[in-house]
Amino acid sequence: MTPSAPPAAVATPAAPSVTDDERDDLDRRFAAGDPDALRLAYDAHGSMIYTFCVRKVGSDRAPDVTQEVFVAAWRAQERFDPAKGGLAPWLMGIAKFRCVDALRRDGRHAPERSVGDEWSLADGSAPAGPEPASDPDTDRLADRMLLAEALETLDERARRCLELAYYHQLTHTEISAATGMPLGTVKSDIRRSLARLRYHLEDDLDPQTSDEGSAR
Amino acid sequence: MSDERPDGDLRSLWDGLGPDDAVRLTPPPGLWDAIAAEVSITPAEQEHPTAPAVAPERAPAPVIDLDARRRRTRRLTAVAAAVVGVGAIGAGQLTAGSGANEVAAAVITSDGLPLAVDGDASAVVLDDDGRYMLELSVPAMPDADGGVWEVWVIDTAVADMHSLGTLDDDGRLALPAGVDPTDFPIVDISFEPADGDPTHSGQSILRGQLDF
Repeated sequence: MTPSAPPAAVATPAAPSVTDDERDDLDRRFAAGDPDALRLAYDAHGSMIYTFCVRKVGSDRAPDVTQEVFVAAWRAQERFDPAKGGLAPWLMGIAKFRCVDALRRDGRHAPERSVGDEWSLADGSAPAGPEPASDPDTDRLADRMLLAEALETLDERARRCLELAYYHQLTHTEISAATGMPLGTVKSDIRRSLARLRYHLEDDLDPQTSDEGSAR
Repeated sequence: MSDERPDGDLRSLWDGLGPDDAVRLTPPPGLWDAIAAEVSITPAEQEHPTAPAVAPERAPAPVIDLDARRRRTRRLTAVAAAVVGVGAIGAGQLTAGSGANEVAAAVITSDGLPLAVDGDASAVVLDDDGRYMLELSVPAMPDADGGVWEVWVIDTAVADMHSLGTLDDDGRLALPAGVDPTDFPIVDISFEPADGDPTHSGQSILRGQLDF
């Protein structure tokens, strides 16, 4: 068990503070083709998609690619099935495809950029040259951003429980002992946190949901 | 205990999480307006609030979840590594009906795709008296271990696509009836694991756009 803290998802808050019900309501409205839903989806997920695009194709092209993502998403809106996953990962899937295509149109395959100190976060401007890639894998970047998004939606206590369970691999009982929280609270916090992660992440990253997994 | 956990992917993902991943940039102010204009959701069109501009109805198509592609990355590592030739496919075989005309052609490449194969590849569309065929000429493909190489045509918005079936030695596949190739100019070949999921895996190996 490593005592060091996991990399914290810090910096600017990732997700707007919406309840699960509001989020699910948006997803249903989007799936139903509600004309307001695209605007709401853009408000909820536009900055994540835009940021992803900036990191993949650079700030010059990110607005165009982001536009392509939302237009394509709306045109494919009837394919979106909330029962199969959340709108955020669905949009991210389209964004990955569009970014790869944009890079191909350029005839280049730019490395992933990092959001460093030299970036102006307010206007999304980027340095002229691409940043060295620490992890060039598009899927990985998308998954990391989705995980960060999911974690940002958790309150501090729930996030801590999740970190202890899934990052530090503590059992529910150990978490209860370590934090002084009642076991039932630990379990409900983790259950709630896992639901958030499930919304944001792919099947193969779907964390185990049963209490058995965290009990010896 | 951790060895028994099936959560290695999540933990490894979490481990790789950096401060950058939670940073969110603000899109430029005009971006929403541009999106709204393109899909015709504008205040002026509120009299048709239930009819935003969506893609025109097309013939029944296999349902493709564009995001379904992410769930299979692990298996693909092995597939991409196991490059075993299965023979060149379809080169120069033009045995469609005598009326078949070439109406479009594309160079297809692995540039920027998750999987790669060396060598030149191309696709042509043949119009055989109103029936469209896609004829592929591809180099020796890696062994599609645990799956198949599937051929797709995709629209430029990447909002709709059709599977033409599995790449075989013939290299020639019919477009579904009613599918106009000009609407689906992107030719894509992907690895599809034999998992019963009919959606595009996202694991493309060759792609290119047809020139009409």
